[in-house]
Amino acid sequence: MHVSLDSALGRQRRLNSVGESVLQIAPNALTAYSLRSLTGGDPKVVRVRRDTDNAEQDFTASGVSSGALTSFTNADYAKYTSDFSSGDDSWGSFDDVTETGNIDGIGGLDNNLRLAIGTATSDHRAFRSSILPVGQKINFSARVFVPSTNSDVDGILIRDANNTVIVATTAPTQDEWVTVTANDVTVANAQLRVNLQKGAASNFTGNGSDVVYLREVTVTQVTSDGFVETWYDQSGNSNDVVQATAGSQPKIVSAGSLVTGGLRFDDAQKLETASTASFGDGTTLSTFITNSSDGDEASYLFRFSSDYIIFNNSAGLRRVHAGISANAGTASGSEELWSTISTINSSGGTTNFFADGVLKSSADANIGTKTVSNRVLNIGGSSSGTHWNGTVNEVIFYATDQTSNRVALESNIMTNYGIS
Amino acid sequence: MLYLIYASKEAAIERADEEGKELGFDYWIEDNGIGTRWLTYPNETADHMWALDVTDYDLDESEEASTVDHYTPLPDPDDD
Repeated sequence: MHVSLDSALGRQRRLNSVGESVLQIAPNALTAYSLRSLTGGDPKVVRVRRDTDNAEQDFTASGVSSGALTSFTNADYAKYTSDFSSGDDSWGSFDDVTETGNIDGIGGLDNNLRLAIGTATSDHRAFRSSILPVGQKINFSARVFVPSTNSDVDGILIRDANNTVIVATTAPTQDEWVTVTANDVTVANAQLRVNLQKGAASNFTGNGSDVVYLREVTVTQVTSDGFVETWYDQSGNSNDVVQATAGSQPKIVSAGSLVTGGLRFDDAQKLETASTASFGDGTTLSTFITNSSDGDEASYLFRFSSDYIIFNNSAGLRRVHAGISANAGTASGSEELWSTISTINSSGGTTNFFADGVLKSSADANIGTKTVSNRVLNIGGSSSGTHWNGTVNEVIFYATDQTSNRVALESNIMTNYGIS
Repeated sequence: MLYLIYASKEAAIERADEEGKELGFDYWIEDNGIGTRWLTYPNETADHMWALDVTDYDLDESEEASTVDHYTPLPDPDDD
């Protein structure tokens, strides 16, 4: 008599067919969030707010992978454009330099900034605060005029206040406006500083008479951070998770690049459904969450309020909780797939917790006596604490027992994210 | 961190709305009820007032004089 392997394994699916999507393997998810397509099509997956001007846009899975998302967040943004027509435009100075705006008739142009050196033996610097985007890349441009009547000052050096060089020491041709530029400089401080130099030296004794003029100083931000306002549900149930408060939105683009690991939750971010869900006695909940935990504090990853929580504790232990916690080993800190298949029950629920396809809890571990009653789905933590610290690539949730599809789903997910 | 303390959630949200409009968040531009609405959202205090994190807000002089640097949050009933 022939007995198939599938029969021998209780008809458990072992591998997904080539090209099968997650929701083709197991179609009836209650919610499904990812930055890739889980449907096989090209669904809308995320709504992103860029940090420069707070503009928002929806993106499909192909829009994320093609670079359209980062092109959106990294659109050129005019961070600063000088205007010396009515004064010094809030420029200041150190070291005995005097700054004066609205200087006319220099090289045939009006409305310039004059930087006049004093007599100190020191650096000779002018500055403009709050015009550089810390941690981001900028393009910089300014026009500089060095008069031939100067006896000492013949050049400039432009940096941020952390001494990140923006325009290296340069001695412009005298008696004409010279444009100095820099591209793709990552700045570390918000304050721009201009050193007056003598023979490429910044520290010297000023002669009390030399001057340099500036105009058309522009800072263009060319990278930005991006934050998730909505993580769209691909299940077809419209259970999108949303965050309307900017300060609580997880990061998806950091300094111009997609965050490694998907969405970054950093101790104050969460996403929630608008609608609530209830699951009574005997309901089996199956979750497949691809994440990386910092493991540095108790962090709620996926929960229905306090009724049902998947998290790690302050020791990094993976846990499922429905009144009491079942442990499932220690999170590695690397990308992991957490698969949980839990049956909740007011007389005592159980869970099987798999990490990267391997059972890590005791089989049918006790998770307590809670069921889920009118709770929103929360990804990332509560309002006052126990926020998730780490990244989340994917959250797929079924209010049904997916034991028969677990291996095929895990194979799909682990292959996609390179988890072994 | 700087906080303004309000007697009601509605008053705190009104201030949060004002800042959200100033910052040009999408909720206020598209007028379709979706998109980012607030920079920060108020949290209830232990004495049932409402604390709004205004650290990055553009405050007027009266508000600046009224800020506090800490508050005691109401324990989250959802917390484990």
